[in-house]
Amino acid sequence: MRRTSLAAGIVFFVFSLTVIAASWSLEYYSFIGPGPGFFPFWLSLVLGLLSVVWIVQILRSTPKSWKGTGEERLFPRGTALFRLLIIVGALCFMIIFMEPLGFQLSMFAFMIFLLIVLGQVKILTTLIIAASSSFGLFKVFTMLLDVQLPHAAIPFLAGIGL
Amino acid sequence: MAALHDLLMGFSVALAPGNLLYAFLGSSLGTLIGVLPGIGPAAGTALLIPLTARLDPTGAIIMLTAIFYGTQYGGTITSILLNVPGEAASAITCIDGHKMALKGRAGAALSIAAIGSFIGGLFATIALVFLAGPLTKVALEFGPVEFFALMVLGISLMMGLAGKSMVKALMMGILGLLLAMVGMDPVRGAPRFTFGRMELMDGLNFVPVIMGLFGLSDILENAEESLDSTKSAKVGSLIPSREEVKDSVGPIARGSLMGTILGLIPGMTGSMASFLSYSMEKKISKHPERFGEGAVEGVAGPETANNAHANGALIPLFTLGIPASPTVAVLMGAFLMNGLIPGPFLFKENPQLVWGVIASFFIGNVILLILNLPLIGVWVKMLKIPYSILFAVILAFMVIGAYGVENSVFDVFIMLLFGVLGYVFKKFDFPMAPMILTLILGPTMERSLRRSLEMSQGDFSILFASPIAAGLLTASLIVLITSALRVFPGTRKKVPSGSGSDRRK
Repeated sequence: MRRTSLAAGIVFFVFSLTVIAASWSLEYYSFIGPGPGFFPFWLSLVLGLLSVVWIVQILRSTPKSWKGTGEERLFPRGTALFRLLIIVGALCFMIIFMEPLGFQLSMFAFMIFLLIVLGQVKILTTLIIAASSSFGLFKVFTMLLDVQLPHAAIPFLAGIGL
Repeated sequence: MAALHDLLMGFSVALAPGNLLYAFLGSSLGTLIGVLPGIGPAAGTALLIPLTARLDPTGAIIMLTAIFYGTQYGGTITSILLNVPGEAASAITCIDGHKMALKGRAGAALSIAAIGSFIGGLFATIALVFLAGPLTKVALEFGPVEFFALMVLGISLMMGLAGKSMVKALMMGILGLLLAMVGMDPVRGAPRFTFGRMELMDGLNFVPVIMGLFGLSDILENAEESLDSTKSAKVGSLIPSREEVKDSVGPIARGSLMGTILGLIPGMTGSMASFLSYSMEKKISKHPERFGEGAVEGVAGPETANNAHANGALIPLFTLGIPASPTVAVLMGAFLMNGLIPGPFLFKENPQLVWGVIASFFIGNVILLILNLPLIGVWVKMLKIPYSILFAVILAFMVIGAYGVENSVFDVFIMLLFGVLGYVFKKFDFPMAPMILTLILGPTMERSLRRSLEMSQGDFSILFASPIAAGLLTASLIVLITSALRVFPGTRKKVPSGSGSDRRK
């Protein structure tokens, strides 16, 4: 936990340095007052200083005070990590395939995958929920609520109404 | 009297059939969000913003505010029946509420909580009606300098009260401000940190950011544990005994006052209001040993306080344009998306809308009382949906919600990115409320400050030239210093934080 927190402090510090560097490319000050780069520069500078304060706090803390906050408590391993990655992976799938396959087909696959792999839900229940969350919600949102969800970009799929 | 006249005009708007329907839909959806574990009020309200995209601004705001205060009612049901808070503000109710349920008094606990929430909500709304005039009168005198100072005070209070570490709260606040800088510069129109992407030209959309930080991060955290659902206690009779009613009168009265006052202070969350109410009731009780064993005062006080807080938190938003909590910040975003700038000018330029929305709070609270007492069985049935199904359905709605704001897959990516970031922030115990507040207030704050500096041709002393601004900035400094002093002496002990966030709230 202590080492991971230190690493996080360093990440924040590096991030603030990057924003400081990026702010330099923007106009800092003009005759009418601060330019677009003024606030990002000062804010990232303060963020950098705060990261240093946090790092110092971690370094100054006694190892005893970290007892009971082991590395295993911070990020999961094994099955818990697998479940987490499944959700992130499924969302990545949606991001990549929502436009080419259309909302209905991609959401149907997304729901089936999550409910079977993660939820371990029975096949019939899975199919009903997946169909209502994909084809059903598509109809509700596009026809009743006027929220546009993507149709498939692939002509064949678009042709059959997906 | 002018306030009452305005309120009557508001009722003529709120009682229009369409607006009544939106208040009903908002209250029902809010209760549902409160009932369902895995989605809190901020993410829930953000998630439902696309539903209101095609409504007229009055209907959209009536529905979204009803969702917001409806979540406070719904959260109680799971606290009492399952010992799992539907949202953080109802967490303290688990202690005595669930004990009452185990003794077969769940129905009485739910009734007292619903009646307390109703009275608390009404009390705070009446306070809004009478405070609106004087507060907007003061705020109308404000120029960009004073508004900037007011926003600094709001953010300082939020940072001072958020989390255990002042440094982390400040880091998150600044991160939110930096994220608010993405997009076109509000004064000169120059693109900043857009990485050449057209989607970022208008800035980061707050809806997918909030859904990621508050909604997806919760689902990811819950996914670490098995996805089994919990067994609900039986509701039983809804009618409280005479003794229970007698014991609840005082806590409800005190909870209404305390919640409304705390709602006015940025950074004071609903959970703080319910926790403080619980502590106060225990302290002044003649039988403090009953607390933790199913004392009805431990349900009545906190539940009244959190609902009074929810409605009270709308007072600074409506009158000054300052959101007091992350969910109110989401509402502020919804106002902005509808082309409305919350604050004193809204009362002047759009009185029908403002008073219509305020009047709808009275109606919404009555609807919620009906939804939570005679219709309690419907919500109990909802609790039977296993989390192994619920999480996937919530994810499906999140994808639609994120996509629906701008019809862009990029926003789904932003939701995923901030979901993962939110999960990591929770692990390190970084408070997310300051980040959301600064993300939404950032552009207005920068615009106010840069306009002030343009007026003074870059001279920063303009910030202290106005006595109001000087007073507000001094107060901000005092808040930050006292909060820092409160934290720093114990630094050596306080740094370790671990993954201390609530599980399956």
